Amino acid sequence: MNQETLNRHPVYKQPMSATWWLSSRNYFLFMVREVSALFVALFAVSYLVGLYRLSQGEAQYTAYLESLQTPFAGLSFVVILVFALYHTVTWFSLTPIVMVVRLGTRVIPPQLVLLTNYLVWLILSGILFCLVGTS
Amino acid sequence: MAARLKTTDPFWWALFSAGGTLAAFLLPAHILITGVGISFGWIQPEVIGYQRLLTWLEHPLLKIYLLLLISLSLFHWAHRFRYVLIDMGLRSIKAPVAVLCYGTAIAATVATLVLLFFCL
Repeated sequence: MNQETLNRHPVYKQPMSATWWLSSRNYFLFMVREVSALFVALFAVSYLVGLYRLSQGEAQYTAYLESLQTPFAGLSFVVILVFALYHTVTWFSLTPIVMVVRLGTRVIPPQLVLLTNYLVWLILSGILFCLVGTS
Repeated sequence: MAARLKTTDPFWWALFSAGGTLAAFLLPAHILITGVGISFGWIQPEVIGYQRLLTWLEHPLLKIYLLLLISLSLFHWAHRFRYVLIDMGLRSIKAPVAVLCYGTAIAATVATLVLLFFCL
């Protein structure tokens, strides 16, 4: 619907309070899920800052690495991790609903799709840990 | 045949979805290793030390990986956060909200691209 149509006909817009998501547990969890993206972005930005500091030279990059070891950074990363895990769990739970996998005429059970997600997640995390986490 | 595209939403949704999937599978491990791990001293900061990281970044595949990880995570944020702001009552300024969210993701993507491929 374009703006012109909207203006020609009176349209009822239901008023909505800014705190509607506090009125029920499900709304609240929905909002937590949506806000998790903010923490995903914060972490991406921390990598972007790292690349910028890396481009500036060794002293600047070392200072960045030191800033990662402050209590503030530690606390921030814990909060970011909690939201990232919530994102992962909710994203995986939605996958079997969004993506119905068919094999011929048979539908792969959604639980299997969910389980596969978790397995792939574990394997990828393991690979990352071996590649990055060990020197 | 050529139906005129009335909305750009499918394009942003595709980026949102790709970013959401990438973030779901890869970010917890990244956060645990280079974030929490280094902060709490479980992981030596040397694993992402200056020389080591520079040597890694000589490989174009790692540059592409980091670009996708950072950029798609931000497009994922942009799309979700756009609707969070609208749901929180910014419906009257829908257009500027969209420009601000997607614009931030685009700017950060350009910055990452320039840093990875021209400065490192």
